[in-house]
Amino acid sequence: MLLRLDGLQVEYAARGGTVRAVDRGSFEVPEASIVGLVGESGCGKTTLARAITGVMPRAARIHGGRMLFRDKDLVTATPAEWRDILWRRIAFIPQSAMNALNPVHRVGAQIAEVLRVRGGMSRAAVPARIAELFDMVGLDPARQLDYPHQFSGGMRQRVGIAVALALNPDLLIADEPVTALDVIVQRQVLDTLRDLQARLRLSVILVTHDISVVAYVCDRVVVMYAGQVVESGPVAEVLERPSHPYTMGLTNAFPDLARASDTLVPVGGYPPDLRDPPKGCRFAARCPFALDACRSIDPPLLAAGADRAVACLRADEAETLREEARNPERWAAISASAD
Amino acid sequence: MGSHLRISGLTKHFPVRRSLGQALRGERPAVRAVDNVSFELAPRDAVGLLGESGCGKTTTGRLLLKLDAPTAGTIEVDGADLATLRGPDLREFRKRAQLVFQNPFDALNPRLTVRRSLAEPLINAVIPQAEHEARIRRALDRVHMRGVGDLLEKYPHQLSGGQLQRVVLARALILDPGFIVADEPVSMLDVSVRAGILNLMREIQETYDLTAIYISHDLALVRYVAQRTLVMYLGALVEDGPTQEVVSAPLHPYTRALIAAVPVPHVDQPRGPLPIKGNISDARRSYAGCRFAERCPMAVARCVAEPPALRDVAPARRVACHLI
Repeated sequence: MLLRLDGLQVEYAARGGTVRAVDRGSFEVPEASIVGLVGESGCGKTTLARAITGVMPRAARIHGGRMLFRDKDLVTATPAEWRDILWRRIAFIPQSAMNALNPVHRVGAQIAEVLRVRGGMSRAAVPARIAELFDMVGLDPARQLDYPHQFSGGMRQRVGIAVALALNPDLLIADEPVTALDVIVQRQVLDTLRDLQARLRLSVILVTHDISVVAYVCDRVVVMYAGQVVESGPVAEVLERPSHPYTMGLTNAFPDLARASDTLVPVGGYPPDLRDPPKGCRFAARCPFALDACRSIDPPLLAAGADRAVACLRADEAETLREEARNPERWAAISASAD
Repeated sequence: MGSHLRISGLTKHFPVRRSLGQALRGERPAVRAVDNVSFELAPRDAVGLLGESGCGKTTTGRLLLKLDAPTAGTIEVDGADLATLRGPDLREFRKRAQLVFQNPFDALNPRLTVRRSLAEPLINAVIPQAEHEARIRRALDRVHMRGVGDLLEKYPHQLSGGQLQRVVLARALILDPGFIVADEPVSMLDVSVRAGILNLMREIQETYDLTAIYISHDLALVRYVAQRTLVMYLGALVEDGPTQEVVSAPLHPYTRALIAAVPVPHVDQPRGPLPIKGNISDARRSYAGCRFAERCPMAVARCVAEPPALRDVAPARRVACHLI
């Protein structure tokens, strides 16, 4: 296992106390695989991804849990150890990588900085390595002398991938790498990412809100809700046969070009306030299957069959609930009470 | 009553800064945002205007609402030419045609309560004060927000994204428009909330007598709310037809690539290279032939030399391609 997160908790210092943005960051990233980390705005997926890079906002701190990267616990890593890890072992493409390039410097010079400062590469070796990286991500090597504004959005995203791959990392963390791109460019960038992952035997954590992107490129998926991992497993299993009612709701609500079935079923209500999370299951207030027990017991994330985990008191009944979840009526009662 | 729109030869060029050389040669470079677009909408049509960023879909929407003046071409709404509307007729048009904004998080004034935001169009349209309360109640009914507590006294920051988008919709409907343009109405919303808004738009479309244009880059959304789809590429209309047919059997090579590129939430889906070459071309250039030709895997010599006209190829289907 390349990376194993176990009960990671990340808190932000805020006015009048702390907000625990990530309360249960528990999942695994096998060697050479793409793991999708999905959830809606505010669910903690970006915070969790940033924690794995060690680059967090000043107000954030890790409150508990472990992050084992090849058996080394990153939670206790010193700043000196992080300098060795970041970019060389774990690299990331930030959410707005498209706009992260400095407009007054040539694109090549900005990659050179990573190679020279982080990688200790000699000045003479740099241009060849940049050309190699450009070629790898599908850019014309001659364009390393261009400025960022001469690149389209998709090309700048490719530069972001090139920078992240500059020092041959083992793990790449990409936060919404294709969200702002048009669908054709999105597909081309995803194809490049998948291709590089296979060729370099990389592992990738792909943070996204879009389950169709997960279905297209990922091997495994981790679903987050209100700061907690609620379900994880192989993509084919989780998306086609979800076990957590939130995952069932997500797949019901997602527009699908390929299927004729033509009603989208919304998940009523909205996520809880993380400054004051409810007792019990955090999804209970929006869940059509919630029992009284769900409102008092916070269900732990437990193994559900080989290679899957789910946090639901009614996980044993998943088969039946999945059938019922297809019925829009079941969700309507909650929708009626507003979104 | 739903509006009837007839758009012919609609063109909008935005001038761009010219170089000294261009000035000396007397050239006037321009971005051809919308180029010779023609279509007709019957009352109660629900049409999706689909395309990638920079294809001219938003500009088209602005022209249809008379928020911008076209460089050439005409727009007739219920028989009246938009370009010549003045005085009372223009005010009437402003009531009849409404825009639903893209981003609900900044479509409402943060300093105004929901009640005041909803009253604003009524004040502008000089509706007697006595009718305001009833109109506001009715608009909230339409978006299923009537029962929501003291909603009217709340400020935008106190509402969720889904609630905000419902208020934005209520505001667009409060003057009983005949025609709405919704520009990426749900692109800022989370999936679980988005489904509810899409269902609501469908319901409004079915219940009220409205002509609607949904502008979007998202084919799955367009398919959900629009019976007919128009596809734009670099300012030109390239395909027009019933949504179901455009999705299941696209004719224009660009539409084919676009549909092949849309990921679906299932593991078994087609992968592999798309039937398209290169990157989106420069909108400042003028094209002797088809503007998609240099990216088209099927292009022949004629495509580069001669612009394809948008022509009827089947009942209710039009395509601008020499090869169809």
